[in-house]
Amino acid sequence: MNNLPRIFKPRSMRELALLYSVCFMIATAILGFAVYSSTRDALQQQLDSRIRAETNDLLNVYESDGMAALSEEIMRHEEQGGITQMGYILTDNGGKRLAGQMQATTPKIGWSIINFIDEDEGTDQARAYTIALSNGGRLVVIADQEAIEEIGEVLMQQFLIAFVAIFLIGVGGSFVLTRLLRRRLSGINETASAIIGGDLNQRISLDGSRGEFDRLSQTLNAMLDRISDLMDNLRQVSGDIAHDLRSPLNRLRQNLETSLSEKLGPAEQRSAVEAAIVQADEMLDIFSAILGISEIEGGHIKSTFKRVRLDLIVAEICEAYQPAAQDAGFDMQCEIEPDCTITGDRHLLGQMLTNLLDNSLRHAPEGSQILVQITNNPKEIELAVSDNGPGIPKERHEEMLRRFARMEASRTTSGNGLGLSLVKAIADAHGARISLTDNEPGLKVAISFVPSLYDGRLIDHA
Amino acid sequence: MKILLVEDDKSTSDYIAQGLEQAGHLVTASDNGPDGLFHATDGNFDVVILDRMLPGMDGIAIIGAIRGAGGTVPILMLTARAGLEDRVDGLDAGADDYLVKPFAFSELHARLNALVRRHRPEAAESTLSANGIELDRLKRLVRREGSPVLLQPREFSLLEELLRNSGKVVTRTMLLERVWNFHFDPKTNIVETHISRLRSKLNEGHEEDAIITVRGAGYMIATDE
Repeated sequence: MNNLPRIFKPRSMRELALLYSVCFMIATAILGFAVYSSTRDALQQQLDSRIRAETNDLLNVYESDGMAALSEEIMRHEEQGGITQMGYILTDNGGKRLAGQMQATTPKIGWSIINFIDEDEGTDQARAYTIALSNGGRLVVIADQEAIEEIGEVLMQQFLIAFVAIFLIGVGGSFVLTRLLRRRLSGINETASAIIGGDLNQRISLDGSRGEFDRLSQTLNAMLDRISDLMDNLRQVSGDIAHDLRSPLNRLRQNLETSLSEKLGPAEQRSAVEAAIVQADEMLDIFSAILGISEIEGGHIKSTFKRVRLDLIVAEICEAYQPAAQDAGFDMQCEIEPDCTITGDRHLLGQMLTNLLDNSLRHAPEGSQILVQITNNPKEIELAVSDNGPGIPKERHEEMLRRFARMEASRTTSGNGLGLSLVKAIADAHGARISLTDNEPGLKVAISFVPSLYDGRLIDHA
Repeated sequence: MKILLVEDDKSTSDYIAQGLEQAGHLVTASDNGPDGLFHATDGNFDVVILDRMLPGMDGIAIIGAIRGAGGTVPILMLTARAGLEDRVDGLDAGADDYLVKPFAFSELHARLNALVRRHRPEAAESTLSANGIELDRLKRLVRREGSPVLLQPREFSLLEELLRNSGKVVTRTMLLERVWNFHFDPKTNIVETHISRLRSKLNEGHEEDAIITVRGAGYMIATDE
């Protein structure tokens, strides 16, 4: 494609239309030539056969009635003239003319083109068929080619007109097409410019025709909706980050100010500085959670996924958490079905479960029950963490998966509202479905994974 | 200890060098890759602290060059990024440990101690002992002052890690990594819970507390007097 001349690589609608009409004109010219030459051939053949038929008729007269009858017959034909419009020459064996008024010399035997003198037009060309008679004379039957030439000329004229018309239609069409396209595209262009200018709410207007332009516009609008959602999300997240960092920053500042006070003893100063460090750590936690979510959402992590035994990971974490849960006054149970192999990252999966457990331990009151279940079905492996704590109202389940979403009641408690969104990011990276349901009472978070089939890779037990 | 510190950020470098010197170590600081590599292959250091991103030469490339030249000095890598792949890259290249910035000085110090200790051959011994506590890794037996103590497997690993670093502080993060293989920070106090269970089992019938809690830093088992 790259080696094609510039003309075959149209870059605008106008160039495309022009290229198209040039091709069309070339096709018309070829067609015109073909029609012209085949028509001419057909007419020529028709003329030849008429000459031959006339010659045969005259020959019959000569053979049955002799030379004199032939002369009379020729004269009669000449008088009648009319449709046949043929000319004749009849000579005896000495070359003397006996009949026929055609002003031309006698040609050689067979087909030939002769010059004759027309009374109206002067010298002209004609088709002649000459035969030798048995008495040594010659009979020539001549037909004017003018009719064929006239028809050829008419054909040529017609095609020339068609050629010009096609050229005009092509050029004109290309202008009209260009204008039409430009009008449609300028709508899209204006919308895009407005969006570049900062008005993200602009959308391309649709005409409801479901044609190519409408479908393109619909797709572009859908893309703009998605971008706008992402921008809103980003705006919300930046707002939330600012909001959530403001309070620990404020407390940090207060603690540092307190530590400068001269009225305080060394021990009190120390505890104020220690408190400041705790607040700084809190902010660092928020940042590392945000960075972690971004890294996971970036999707690059997927390239490091291996086959892992989710049941073993869950068992390990249950073993680590059970004593802590017990000491904190919770009743934590784990129900684990074996051989749950999925494709993933063991650290991320571990982090996902610990986040869910941290959530339950933080928000459910002491004495609550926490149940970790992993069920192994042929089509899906489900990991569920449920508690019988206060739960989350059904209508807010969706919202809780977004970044920084927190129940108002928990704004005052520790935690940064990133736990569940990190869980969701990890679930998404693993192609798993996450669902929040009412445990009546309490919250049940279930994550459904697609089981990993044996593909030659060993299981990562590291 | 003789410590080589390769870090281009002046304030981080000063903060680390000052802390290490106060703790009685000898610190050589370098602020770029090529100098750092020269010192690492030339000097006789006990441990190298290496920043991941350096002018002139990347931290990973320096590790490659040190290990390529047959150097076995333990290397602790500092990285500003906590990304999973970043950590794997560093460890794959031949670093012995890594620490994500920002970090507490106590965490760095504890890790350096553990690194140097692990690097010495006695780490492979089958029994560990300190302050009257004996741990047999092959028979999986624990005794305090001769009397057996029954431990859960996880408590056994916890004690093993503390004994291996006896006399030095082991941080909560180090325990999470080495005992549980958790490279993230759970909000639930699982380390504290397991330490308290281990402690009560070890202390049964003894007056002295077997495990010293170092506030704001971690846990420690004292060495034999």
